[in-house]
Amino acid sequence: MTEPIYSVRDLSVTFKRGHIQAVDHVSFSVPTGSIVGLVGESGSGKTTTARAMAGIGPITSGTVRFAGQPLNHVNRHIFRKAVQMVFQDPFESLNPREKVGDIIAEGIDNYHLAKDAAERRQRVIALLQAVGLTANALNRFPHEFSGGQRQRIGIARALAVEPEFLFLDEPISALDVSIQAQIVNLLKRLQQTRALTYLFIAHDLSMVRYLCDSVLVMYHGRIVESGPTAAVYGDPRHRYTQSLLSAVPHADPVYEAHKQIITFDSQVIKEADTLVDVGGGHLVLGGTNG
Amino acid sequence: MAEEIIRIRDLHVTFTETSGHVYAVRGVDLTLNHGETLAIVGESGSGKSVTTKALLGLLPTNARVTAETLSYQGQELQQLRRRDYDQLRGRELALIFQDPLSALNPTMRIGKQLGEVLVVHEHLKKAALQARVAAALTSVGLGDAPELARKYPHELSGGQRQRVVIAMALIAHPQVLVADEPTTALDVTLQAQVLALIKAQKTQQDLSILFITHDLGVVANIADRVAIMYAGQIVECGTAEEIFYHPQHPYTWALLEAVPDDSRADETLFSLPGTPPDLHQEPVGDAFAPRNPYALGIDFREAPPRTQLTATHWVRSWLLDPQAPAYEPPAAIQARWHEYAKMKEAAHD
Repeated sequence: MTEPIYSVRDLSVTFKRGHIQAVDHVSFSVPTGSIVGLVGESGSGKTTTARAMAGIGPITSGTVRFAGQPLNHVNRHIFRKAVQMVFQDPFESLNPREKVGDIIAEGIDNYHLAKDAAERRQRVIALLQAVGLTANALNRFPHEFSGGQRQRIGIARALAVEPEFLFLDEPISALDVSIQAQIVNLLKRLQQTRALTYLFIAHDLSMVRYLCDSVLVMYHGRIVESGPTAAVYGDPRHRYTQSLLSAVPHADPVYEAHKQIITFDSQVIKEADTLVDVGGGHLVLGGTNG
Repeated sequence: MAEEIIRIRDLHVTFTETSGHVYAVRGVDLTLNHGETLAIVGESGSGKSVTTKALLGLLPTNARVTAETLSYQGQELQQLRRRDYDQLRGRELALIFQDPLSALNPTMRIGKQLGEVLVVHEHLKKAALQARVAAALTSVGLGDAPELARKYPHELSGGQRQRVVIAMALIAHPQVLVADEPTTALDVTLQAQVLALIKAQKTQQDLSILFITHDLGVVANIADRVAIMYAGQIVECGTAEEIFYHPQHPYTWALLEAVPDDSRADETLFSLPGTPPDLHQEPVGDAFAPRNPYALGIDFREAPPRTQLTATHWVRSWLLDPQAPAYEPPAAIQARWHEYAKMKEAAHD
């Protein structure tokens, strides 16, 4: 078994204002070449965890290792090239006054990946094609593209520096249904053909089930359940996971009319609860009592 | 026969922009019956929000609106004066939007904001006002109403804010609630709570609801009838049962198939190629044809007529023309048809 690309041990993040424990002793690893889903509602700590891992957010205690090395020992230059991010709102993250060709080429320029203008152009065109766009996007501006196309541009920009790892922060939640499926299929194909590793941060549980090999469920800064996607979705053990999954609407009126939403009381979680393996790497906070 | 609350016939909305005209709504027919929830489903640019904004008189001045009928309880809205429209909108037709924060004034206490509608429309005095505000907050599940009424929007959680917005929309006891993607920005558990709340309020207040969304799971949860929009037109309309278990339009099929299915995790997720058409030009033929794997030759030349399948179900697709060649819907859709046949059989027994 290869070394995990990321390993997070006892990560805590406390925000001074209001003494909020945003992330509370979280441990997990991301195997190289896998897609890990990080799910939870707003305020669960999923984005704070991801920001700490990406080196752009604070770490109060604990360690984050990237490729075996603690984050503060990793060469920044190499790290910033190896790890890229794709955001929820592709429009906000693209400079509106810059041409798409230049947006995508930014990383190529920063890391001197092209020896001349011709190679730079060639690389950008190859990236556009890899994400399903054509060379005529080069000289256009972000506002000339639809939401789905802009997300493709965001992905091309992330891929420009030939990263190993992508943080996908709610990359499809702002998109229309038929476009979501296109982007998810694109992400899956790119992961396979380019041997990438993803952390997919989402509140859309059905896409996580579809895309991810394993899943981490966060609640109030803690992981309440984790494991292979099939195990967590097929046999959710923690009451919170059960409640979350029961709330997902299905495109089936008969199902919706009869569904029982499982309620969840945060008191269920005890300070002393620990993650217990219930079999096959399926971890549940507080074991089966959770 | 149910009483018609809202009637829209042959609605067209065209925007004039520096880049030319945008044909945003192209002949929409829609009826909202008393006591029902009608979902308008479509992707961005389909015209679903523009249709409802036209109904509410909320379109910007560069929009040209024409309609054969655009009426509320038999009253033609196109002839309404501005002031009367504003009155109607506050009192009879209420609105909730996706983003609860944008609907709330950040510098005004919750109680005052809620009461404002009543001051304007009902000229209520202080004590009566406070009682109504408290009742409205309690009815949306916000306990300790007096305490909450003194707070400012930023002091509330996202869920509380969305509840306040619903309370504010319903405080004047409107007839119709127009909800434009009210749960899209919410987490799933909160979404489930808000949907349950809207359903409860509908029964309590005898509301008729126009619910705009792109999420078919939400539609399945809340709608009695469904209108599917694409490129400024309704392409299929029917009861929730008809749309989910007996869909006929290839675009409806595509939307249903794009929802990830638990049992098919290893396969490539079905995705519709391409993007919706640019409505700077009026599409020739069926606007969906370029993305439609089931398109016939005629789809590229002539717009399909409306085919009425049942009293409640109609479709705009050449596939339903008697001269159309035989076709087989995708397997997942056939499974839904099978489900429908079983339901019909059970209903006969």
